[in-house]
Amino acid sequence: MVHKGLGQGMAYVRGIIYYSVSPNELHPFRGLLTKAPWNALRRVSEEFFRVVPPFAGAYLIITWGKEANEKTKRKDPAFFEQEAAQNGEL
Amino acid sequence: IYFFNRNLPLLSLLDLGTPVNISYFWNFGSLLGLFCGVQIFSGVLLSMHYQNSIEMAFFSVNLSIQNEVFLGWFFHNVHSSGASFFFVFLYCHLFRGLYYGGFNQINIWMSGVTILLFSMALAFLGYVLPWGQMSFWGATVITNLFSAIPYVGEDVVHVLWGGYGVAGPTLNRFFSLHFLVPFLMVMVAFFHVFIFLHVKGSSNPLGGPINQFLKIEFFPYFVVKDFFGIYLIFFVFFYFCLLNPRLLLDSENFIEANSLVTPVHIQPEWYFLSSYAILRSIPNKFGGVVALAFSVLFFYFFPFFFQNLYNNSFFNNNNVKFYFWFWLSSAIVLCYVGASPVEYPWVSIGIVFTFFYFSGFFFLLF
Repeated sequence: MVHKGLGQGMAYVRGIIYYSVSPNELHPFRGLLTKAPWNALRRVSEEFFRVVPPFAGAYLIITWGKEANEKTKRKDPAFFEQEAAQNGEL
Repeated sequence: IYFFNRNLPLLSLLDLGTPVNISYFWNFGSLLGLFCGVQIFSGVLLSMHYQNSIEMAFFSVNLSIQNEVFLGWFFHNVHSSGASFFFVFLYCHLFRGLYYGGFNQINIWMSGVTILLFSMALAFLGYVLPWGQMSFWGATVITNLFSAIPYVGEDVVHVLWGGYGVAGPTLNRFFSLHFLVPFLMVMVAFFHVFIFLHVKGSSNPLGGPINQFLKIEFFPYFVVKDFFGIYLIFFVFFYFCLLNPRLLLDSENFIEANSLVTPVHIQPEWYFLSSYAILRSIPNKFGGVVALAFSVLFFYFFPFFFQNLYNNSFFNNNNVKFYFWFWLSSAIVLCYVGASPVEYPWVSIGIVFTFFYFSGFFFLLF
C-alpha cells in the first residue's frame, strides 16, 4: 500500500512513521477491575478540591436563598408566641 | 483550484490528521453541526405552515401545527427542544475551549464566538414567533434595552420595532431575520471548521507539542466516535421530543400575547438566564446593558490576554483551574437568580455573583 501521507490532495508530507499493533496483541479490558478503579480514584482525588467546592457552595447558596425568600412570604411565628401563649391559657 | 483541492470538506472528513488522545469533549463540534442541520430542516418544515401575522401566529403554532399538520407536533417539539440542545452543546464546546486553551487559535476562537452571538440572536428572534405572552413581553424587554444607547437609542428601537411598539411589523421582520440568520451562521461555521480549523487540525487535552506528530486519520476512528456520541445524545433528545416536550418551556407562552396584561415573571429561556441576571443586577439601565453585552463579548478578548505556552489549562497552576470551576458555578448561580423574582435575597446574590463572574476574567489577567 502506498502511503501518500495524511490527506489526499494535500502537499506530500515526509517523515511520517506508522505504528500498528496486531489485533492479537490488543488487551482493551486488561486491568479493568484490578487497576482501573484505583486509577480513577487517583484522578478524581487530584481534582476533587478544585471542582467540588465551587459547586457545593453554589448549591448551599441556592438552598439558603430559597429558604430566605420563603421566610419573607410568611409571618415570623416567634412574633406571635406571647399571643399564642395567652390564647392557650384562655 | 489548488485551494479547493487541498481543503475539500469531504476529503478532510476522511483523512484529516486528528490527535489520537482527544476525549469525548471533542464530540460537541460534530453534535453542533448535526443539530444546526436538524434545526434548519425542522425550521423550514415549520415555516411552511407558520403564519407570521399577529392574528394568526399563535393559532398557527398551537392549533394548526400542533394538532392538524401531519407530524407537525413532532417537528415543533424537535425545533423547540433542538434549540435547547444546541445551546447545551454550544456551552460545552465553549467551556472545553476555555479549559483546554482553544482561544490560542485566534481565527477559530473569534469565528466561534461570532457563531455564539449569531445563535443567541437567532434564539431570541425565534422565541418571539409563537406570539405567546412570554414571546411578546420578552421581545418588549430586550428591544427596549437598545434605547439605552446614547442619543440614537430611541430611533434604533423604533427601527427595530417597525413602529412605536412590539406589533405586527416587528413579528414580520423577526420572522424574516430568523429565516435569514441561520444561513449567515452556517457561512461563519464553514469558515470556523473548513478554513480555520483544518489548517492545523484539532487541539488535544495535553496541549501543543503532541499535536505535531501523534495523529491518526479522521475516518474511521473519529467518524465512529462521533456517531457513537450522536447515538447516545439521541436517547436524551427523543425523551424531550416525544415524552416530555414541555419541560424546558414556559407555561406563560401558552397564552396568546396580550399587550394589556403583563406576566408576573418575565424571564427568557434557560440559556439566557445568566446574562439576564447580570442585566438585572446593575441598577443603572445603560450600565446593565453594557454588563449584559460584556458578559458575552469578553470572550473576544481571551486570545489577547491569556497566551499560554502549553495551550491548555492542564499545565496551568491550581489557582487558574480553581477559578475556571468557580466562574462556571457563578454562571450556574446566576442562571437560578435570573429565573427568580426580583426579591430578597436574590437581588444581593445576583450582585455578588455578577462581581464573581467578571472577577475571574480580571483575576486571570494578573
